[in-house]
Amino acid sequence: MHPGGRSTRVWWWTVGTGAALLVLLTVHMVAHHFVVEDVGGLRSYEQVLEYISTPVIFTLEAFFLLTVTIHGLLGVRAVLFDMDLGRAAKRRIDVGLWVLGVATVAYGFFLIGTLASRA
Amino acid sequence: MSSSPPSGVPRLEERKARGPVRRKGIGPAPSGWLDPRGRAIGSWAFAVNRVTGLGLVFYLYLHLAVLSLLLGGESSWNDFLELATTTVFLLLDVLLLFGILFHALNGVRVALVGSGIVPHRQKALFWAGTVIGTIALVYGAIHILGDA
Repeated sequence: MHPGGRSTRVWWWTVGTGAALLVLLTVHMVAHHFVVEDVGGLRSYEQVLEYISTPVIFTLEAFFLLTVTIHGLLGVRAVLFDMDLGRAAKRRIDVGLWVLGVATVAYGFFLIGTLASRA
Repeated sequence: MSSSPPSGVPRLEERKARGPVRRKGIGPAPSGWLDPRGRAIGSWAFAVNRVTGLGLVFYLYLHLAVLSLLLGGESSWNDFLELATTTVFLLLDVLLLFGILFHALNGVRVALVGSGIVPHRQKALFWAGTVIGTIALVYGAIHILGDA
Protein backbone atom coordinates (compact mmCIF):
# COMPACT_ATOMS: atom_id res chain seq x y z
CA MET A 1 0.00 0.00 0.00
CA HIS A 2 1.61 3.25 -1.10
CA PRO A 3 0.86 6.35 1.00
CA GLY A 4 -1.50 8.54 -1.01
CA GLY A 5 -2.08 5.75 -3.56
CA ARG A 6 -5.41 4.32 -4.64
CA SER A 7 -5.27 1.44 -2.16
CA THR A 8 -4.74 3.91 0.67
CA ARG A 9 -7.66 6.03 -0.45
CA VAL A 10 -9.94 2.97 -0.67
CA TRP A 11 -8.80 1.89 2.81
CA TRP A 12 -9.62 5.30 4.27
CA TRP A 13 -13.02 5.32 2.52
CA THR A 14 -13.72 1.91 4.07
CA VAL A 15 -12.66 3.12 7.52
CA GLY A 16 -14.55 6.42 7.17
CA THR A 17 -17.81 4.84 6.05
CA GLY A 18 -17.33 2.16 8.74
CA ALA A 19 -17.00 4.85 11.42
CA ALA A 20 -20.11 6.61 10.12
CA LEU A 21 -21.95 3.28 10.14
CA LEU A 22 -21.20 2.78 13.82
CA VAL A 23 -23.33 5.86 14.53
CA LEU A 24 -25.94 5.36 11.80
CA LEU A 25 -26.46 1.66 12.50
CA THR A 26 -26.81 2.29 16.23
CA VAL A 27 -29.44 4.95 15.54
CA HIS A 28 -31.18 2.64 13.03
CA MET A 29 -31.22 -0.36 15.38
CA VAL A 30 -32.34 1.57 18.45
CA ALA A 31 -34.89 3.85 16.75
CA HIS A 32 -36.25 1.24 14.38
CA HIS A 33 -36.14 -1.97 16.39
CA PHE A 34 -35.14 -1.73 20.04
CA VAL A 35 -37.69 0.91 21.10
CA VAL A 36 -40.53 -1.08 19.52
CA GLU A 37 -42.21 -3.27 22.10
CA ASP A 38 -43.61 -5.90 19.71
CA VAL A 39 -41.87 -9.27 19.35
CA GLY A 40 -38.75 -8.96 17.20
CA GLY A 41 -38.95 -5.16 17.28
CA LEU A 42 -40.95 -4.77 14.09
CA ARG A 43 -43.37 -1.96 13.25
CA SER A 44 -46.83 -2.22 11.78
CA TYR A 45 -47.43 -0.86 8.27
CA GLU A 46 -48.79 2.45 9.56
CA GLN A 47 -45.94 2.78 12.07
CA VAL A 48 -43.34 2.28 9.32
CA LEU A 49 -44.90 4.99 7.16
CA GLU A 50 -45.11 7.36 10.12
CA TYR A 51 -41.48 6.61 11.04
CA ILE A 52 -39.98 7.05 7.57
CA SER A 53 -41.93 10.26 6.85
CA THR A 54 -40.23 12.07 9.75
CA PRO A 55 -37.69 14.39 8.01
CA VAL A 56 -34.83 13.65 10.42
CA ILE A 57 -35.38 9.87 10.19
CA PHE A 58 -35.77 10.05 6.39
CA THR A 59 -32.44 11.90 6.09
CA LEU A 60 -30.69 9.50 8.47
CA GLU A 61 -32.03 6.40 6.67
CA ALA A 62 -31.05 7.84 3.26
CA PHE A 63 -27.53 8.58 4.51
CA PHE A 64 -27.41 5.14 6.16
CA LEU A 65 -28.29 3.45 2.85
CA LEU A 66 -25.65 5.44 0.95
CA THR A 67 -22.96 4.75 3.56
CA VAL A 68 -23.71 1.04 3.98
CA THR A 69 -23.74 0.53 0.20
CA ILE A 70 -20.33 2.18 -0.25
CA HIS A 71 -18.85 0.29 2.71
CA GLY A 72 -20.31 -3.06 1.67
CA LEU A 73 -19.30 -2.86 -1.98
CA LEU A 74 -15.78 -1.69 -1.07
CA GLY A 75 -15.57 -4.83 1.07
CA VAL A 76 -16.74 -7.01 -1.82
CA ARG A 77 -14.15 -5.28 -4.02
CA ALA A 78 -11.38 -6.08 -1.53
CA VAL A 79 -12.36 -9.77 -1.46
CA LEU A 80 -12.54 -9.99 -5.26
CA PHE A 81 -9.25 -8.12 -5.73
CA ASP A 82 -7.52 -10.70 -3.51
CA MET A 83 -8.10 -13.37 -6.15
CA ASP A 84 -4.99 -12.68 -8.26
CA LEU A 85 -6.93 -11.02 -11.09
CA GLY A 86 -5.49 -9.14 -14.04
CA ARG A 87 -5.85 -5.41 -14.59
CA ALA A 88 -8.72 -5.77 -17.07
CA ALA A 89 -10.71 -7.99 -14.71
CA LYS A 90 -10.19 -5.52 -11.87
CA ARG A 91 -11.39 -2.72 -14.13
CA ARG A 92 -14.55 -4.69 -14.98
CA ILE A 93 -15.17 -5.35 -11.28
CA ASP A 94 -14.82 -1.63 -10.51
CA VAL A 95 -17.33 -0.72 -13.23
CA GLY A 96 -19.73 -3.51 -12.17
CA LEU A 97 -19.63 -2.46 -8.52
CA TRP A 98 -20.20 1.19 -9.45
CA VAL A 99 -23.28 0.21 -11.47
CA LEU A 100 -24.54 -2.04 -8.68
CA GLY A 101 -23.94 0.65 -6.07
CA VAL A 102 -25.72 3.39 -8.01
CA ALA A 103 -28.65 1.04 -8.73
CA THR A 104 -28.85 0.03 -5.06
CA VAL A 105 -28.90 3.60 -3.77
CA ALA A 106 -31.34 4.72 -6.49
CA TYR A 107 -33.76 1.88 -5.67
CA GLY A 108 -33.40 2.48 -1.93
CA PHE A 109 -34.15 6.20 -2.33
CA PHE A 110 -37.16 5.34 -4.51
CA LEU A 111 -38.36 2.90 -1.83
CA ILE A 112 -38.13 5.21 1.17
CA GLY A 113 -39.36 8.18 -0.90
CA THR A 114 -42.45 6.25 -2.00
CA LEU A 115 -43.18 5.06 1.54
CA ALA A 116 -42.68 8.54 3.02
CA SER A 117 -45.11 9.99 0.47
CA ARG A 118 -47.82 7.53 1.59
CA ALA A 119 -47.84 8.72 5.21
CA MET B 1 29.25 -16.00 -9.91
CA SER B 2 28.09 -19.63 -10.01
CA SER B 3 25.81 -20.73 -12.84
CA SER B 4 23.76 -23.09 -10.63
CA PRO B 5 21.14 -21.50 -8.33
CA PRO B 6 21.21 -22.05 -4.55
CA SER B 7 19.47 -25.10 -3.13
CA GLY B 8 15.67 -24.84 -3.30
CA VAL B 9 15.63 -22.12 -5.97
CA PRO B 10 14.14 -23.33 -9.29
CA ARG B 11 16.32 -23.30 -12.42
CA LEU B 12 15.60 -21.02 -15.38
CA GLU B 13 13.86 -23.78 -17.39
CA GLU B 14 11.57 -24.59 -14.46
CA ARG B 15 10.73 -20.91 -13.91
CA LYS B 16 9.88 -20.52 -17.61
CA ALA B 17 7.64 -23.59 -17.46
CA ARG B 18 5.76 -22.15 -14.45
CA GLY B 19 5.01 -18.92 -16.28
CA PRO B 20 5.18 -15.34 -14.97
CA VAL B 21 5.38 -14.72 -11.22
CA ARG B 22 1.92 -13.65 -10.09
CA ARG B 23 2.84 -12.94 -6.49
CA LYS B 24 5.94 -12.44 -4.37
CA GLY B 25 6.42 -12.48 -0.62
CA ILE B 26 6.15 -14.78 2.34
CA GLY B 27 3.11 -16.43 3.91
CA PRO B 28 -0.06 -17.79 2.36
CA ALA B 29 -1.50 -16.34 -0.84
CA PRO B 30 -4.00 -13.50 -0.29
CA SER B 31 -6.84 -15.68 -1.55
CA GLY B 32 -6.00 -18.16 1.24
CA TRP B 33 -7.61 -15.88 3.84
CA LEU B 34 -10.64 -18.18 4.05
CA ASP B 35 -8.55 -20.95 5.63
CA PRO B 36 -6.73 -19.46 8.63
CA ARG B 37 -5.99 -22.84 10.30
CA GLY B 38 -2.62 -22.92 11.99
CA ARG B 39 -2.26 -19.15 11.94
CA ALA B 40 -2.47 -16.41 14.60
CA ILE B 41 -5.72 -15.13 16.05
CA GLY B 42 -5.50 -12.03 13.84
CA SER B 43 -5.86 -14.24 10.74
CA TRP B 44 -8.97 -15.85 12.24
CA ALA B 45 -10.39 -12.42 13.00
CA PHE B 46 -9.62 -11.32 9.42
CA ALA B 47 -11.37 -14.40 7.97
CA VAL B 48 -14.45 -14.06 10.21
CA ASN B 49 -14.52 -10.32 9.48
CA ARG B 50 -14.70 -11.02 5.74
CA VAL B 51 -17.29 -13.81 6.09
CA THR B 52 -19.51 -11.62 8.29
CA GLY B 53 -18.99 -8.71 5.87
CA LEU B 54 -20.09 -10.77 2.88
CA GLY B 55 -23.04 -12.04 4.93
CA LEU B 56 -24.02 -8.47 5.80
CA VAL B 57 -23.86 -7.41 2.13
CA PHE B 58 -26.17 -10.33 1.32
CA TYR B 59 -28.43 -9.19 4.16
CA LEU B 60 -28.47 -5.62 2.79
CA TYR B 61 -30.08 -6.85 -0.43
CA LEU B 62 -32.36 -9.25 1.45
CA HIS B 63 -33.43 -6.34 3.68
CA LEU B 64 -34.21 -4.19 0.62
CA ALA B 65 -36.24 -7.06 -0.86
CA VAL B 66 -38.20 -7.50 2.38
CA LEU B 67 -38.84 -3.76 2.71
CA SER B 68 -40.13 -3.80 -0.87
CA LEU B 69 -43.10 -5.75 0.51
CA LEU B 70 -44.24 -2.44 2.00
CA LEU B 71 -44.87 -1.23 -1.56
CA GLY B 72 -47.51 -3.98 -1.81
CA GLY B 73 -49.55 -2.43 1.00
CA GLU B 74 -50.59 -3.42 4.49
CA SER B 75 -51.66 -7.01 3.77
CA SER B 76 -48.33 -8.09 2.27
CA TRP B 77 -46.47 -6.46 5.18
CA ASN B 78 -48.70 -8.26 7.71
CA ASP B 79 -47.96 -11.57 5.97
CA PHE B 80 -44.26 -10.90 6.45
CA LEU B 81 -44.75 -9.92 10.11
CA GLU B 82 -46.31 -13.33 10.78
CA LEU B 83 -43.20 -15.03 9.38
CA ALA B 84 -40.81 -12.59 11.06
CA THR B 85 -42.15 -13.30 14.53
CA THR B 86 -41.51 -17.06 14.38
CA THR B 87 -38.78 -18.42 16.67
CA VAL B 88 -36.61 -19.56 13.75
CA PHE B 89 -36.68 -16.08 12.22
CA LEU B 90 -35.86 -14.46 15.57
CA LEU B 91 -32.89 -16.84 15.97
CA LEU B 92 -31.68 -15.67 12.55
CA ASP B 93 -31.97 -12.10 13.91
CA VAL B 94 -29.63 -13.09 16.75
CA LEU B 95 -27.19 -14.53 14.17
CA LEU B 96 -27.44 -11.23 12.27
CA LEU B 97 -26.71 -9.33 15.48
CA PHE B 98 -23.60 -11.49 16.01
CA GLY B 99 -22.43 -10.67 12.46
CA ILE B 100 -22.98 -6.94 12.98
CA LEU B 101 -21.25 -6.87 16.38
CA PHE B 102 -18.24 -8.91 15.27
CA HIS B 103 -17.76 -6.94 12.05
CA ALA B 104 -18.20 -3.58 13.80
CA LEU B 105 -15.95 -4.27 16.79
CA ASN B 106 -13.26 -5.98 14.72
CA GLY B 107 -13.50 -3.09 12.25
CA VAL B 108 -12.79 -0.65 15.07
CA ARG B 109 -9.75 -2.75 16.03
CA VAL B 110 -8.46 -2.84 12.44
CA ALA B 111 -9.00 0.91 12.01
CA LEU B 112 -7.22 1.77 15.27
CA VAL B 113 -4.26 -0.50 14.48
CA GLY B 114 -4.08 0.25 10.74
CA SER B 115 -4.31 4.02 11.13
CA GLY B 116 -1.45 4.00 13.63
CA ILE B 117 -3.53 5.27 16.56
CA VAL B 118 -2.95 2.08 18.60
CA PRO B 119 -0.49 0.10 16.47
CA HIS B 120 0.75 -2.39 19.11
CA ARG B 121 -2.43 -3.40 20.92
CA GLN B 122 -4.00 -5.84 18.44
CA LYS B 123 -4.60 -8.65 20.91
CA ALA B 124 -5.80 -6.42 23.74
CA LEU B 125 -8.26 -4.72 21.38
CA PHE B 126 -9.44 -8.12 20.10
CA TRP B 127 -10.23 -9.39 23.59
CA ALA B 128 -11.80 -6.07 24.63
CA GLY B 129 -14.05 -6.30 21.57
CA THR B 130 -14.87 -9.91 22.40
CA VAL B 131 -16.02 -8.97 25.91
CA ILE B 132 -18.05 -5.95 24.73
CA GLY B 133 -19.53 -7.94 21.84
CA THR B 134 -20.51 -10.87 24.04
CA ILE B 135 -22.29 -8.60 26.53
CA ALA B 136 -24.10 -6.76 23.71
CA LEU B 137 -25.02 -10.04 22.01
CA VAL B 138 -26.48 -11.53 25.20
CA TYR B 139 -28.45 -8.33 25.88
CA GLY B 140 -29.70 -8.21 22.28
CA ALA B 141 -30.61 -11.90 22.22
CA ILE B 142 -32.63 -11.58 25.43
CA HIS B 143 -34.38 -8.53 23.97
CA ILE B 144 -35.13 -10.23 20.63
CA LEU B 145 -36.13 -13.64 22.01
CA GLY B 146 -37.66 -12.33 25.24
CA ASP B 147 -41.28 -12.83 24.23
CA ALA B 148 -40.77 -15.67 21.74
